[in-house]
Amino acid sequence: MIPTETLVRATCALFGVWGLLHAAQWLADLPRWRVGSAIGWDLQRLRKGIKGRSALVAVLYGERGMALLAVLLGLVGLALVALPLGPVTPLLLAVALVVALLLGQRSIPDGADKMAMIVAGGGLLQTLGLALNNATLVLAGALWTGGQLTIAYFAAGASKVILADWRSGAAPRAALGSYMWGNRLSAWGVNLPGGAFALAWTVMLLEMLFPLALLLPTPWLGVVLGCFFLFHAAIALVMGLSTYPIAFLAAYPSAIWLGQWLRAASGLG
Amino acid sequence: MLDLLAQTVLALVCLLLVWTLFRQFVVSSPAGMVLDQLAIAPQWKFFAQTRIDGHAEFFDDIHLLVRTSPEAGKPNDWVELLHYGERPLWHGIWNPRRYSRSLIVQHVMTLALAEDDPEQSARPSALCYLTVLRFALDRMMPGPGEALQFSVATTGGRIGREPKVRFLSAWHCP
Repeated sequence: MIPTETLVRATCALFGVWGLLHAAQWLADLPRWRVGSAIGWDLQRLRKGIKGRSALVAVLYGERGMALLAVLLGLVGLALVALPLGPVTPLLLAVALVVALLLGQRSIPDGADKMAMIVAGGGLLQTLGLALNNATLVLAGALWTGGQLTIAYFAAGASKVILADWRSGAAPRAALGSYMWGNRLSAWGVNLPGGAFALAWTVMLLEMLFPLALLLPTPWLGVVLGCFFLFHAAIALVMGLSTYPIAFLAAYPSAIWLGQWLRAASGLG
Repeated sequence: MLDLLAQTVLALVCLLLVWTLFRQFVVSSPAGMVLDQLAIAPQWKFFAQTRIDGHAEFFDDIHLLVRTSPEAGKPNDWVELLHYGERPLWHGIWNPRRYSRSLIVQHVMTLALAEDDPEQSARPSALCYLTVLRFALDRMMPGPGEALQFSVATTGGRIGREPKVRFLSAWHCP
């Protein structure tokens, strides 16, 4: 049984690494988001909704505002990696959550951004629970992150299996054979006889069966999560999704906590 | 008091998780999209949106082509502005242009999709049109008296590279 403090500390450190990488990438790409460019806020604010009309949002999404948000996320990420758990940790996670949310709304948040926001929210509840010595809050935080991770994997598999193009392998062949979503190696793999079909069913079955893995003893759950991390890393290399593996990795300590709690609650050990 | 608050939070978390699970199997409304983007009740459909079924072209490569024309005379050749070549492996660790490029691509795709429906075709005042036009002007920097036109084409992966024109803009002067 891995102690709660160890798992929550791991969550914070991994989320901090995500924050550092995310912030560094935003800072490196800031010139493309400047006012006057194609994706500058002066033009993109024409999007429907209150966001485009808000003067505060316009300041935050201006050049200095964006730089400030990215630097703030980087600093908070660094603090989460470096500092031990303490009363300031929930505050750091709350700031990171707000900044990640604002940066996500400036672009199109992908699965990695959403998972990172979930980890920040869950981590906030867990660290508050530890600071206030309240087990219910710790449970709520782990349930939020671990539950969303479980739903993410299960839904990703189930939503594929109901599509004929996934069952036949046509969808992964088209996606991984393209320049936008694949690379030379993935295109070669999905064009082997049966390659796309085998890949499609391996991915769908692994994703749909993930909820059962939570009932495995912790070392075996660790092995399953290790396999999923390698899967994310491979996708990141093929599709260029640089923050994707670390965002999901940051959710794994909560999945381990949830697995331990489920096994204890169900009398499995 | 703290216990009651914690139990309320736990109940809310359970409710949101059930709602998230339910949302995976319904078509998302505009309000649902907001909840998705705020990661309150996200949809976790990686490459499995219902509309891809039977539409392999959903994964087609998008090409943004631009050409300029002097004040008098023949237009110049088309130039590709959004080229997806072989992706370097290090993009799996460091890829800062991911978001800016995705946003441009989304506008380009919106143009192509809108044009497929004659009732919905994008007007030059549409945000997607203006974004792509500004992107093209930024990159090509046409000189005085020169005009610019852009086009969106798609090709089907590495094997079926036959290009298909999906959108053709009007001529624009900077």
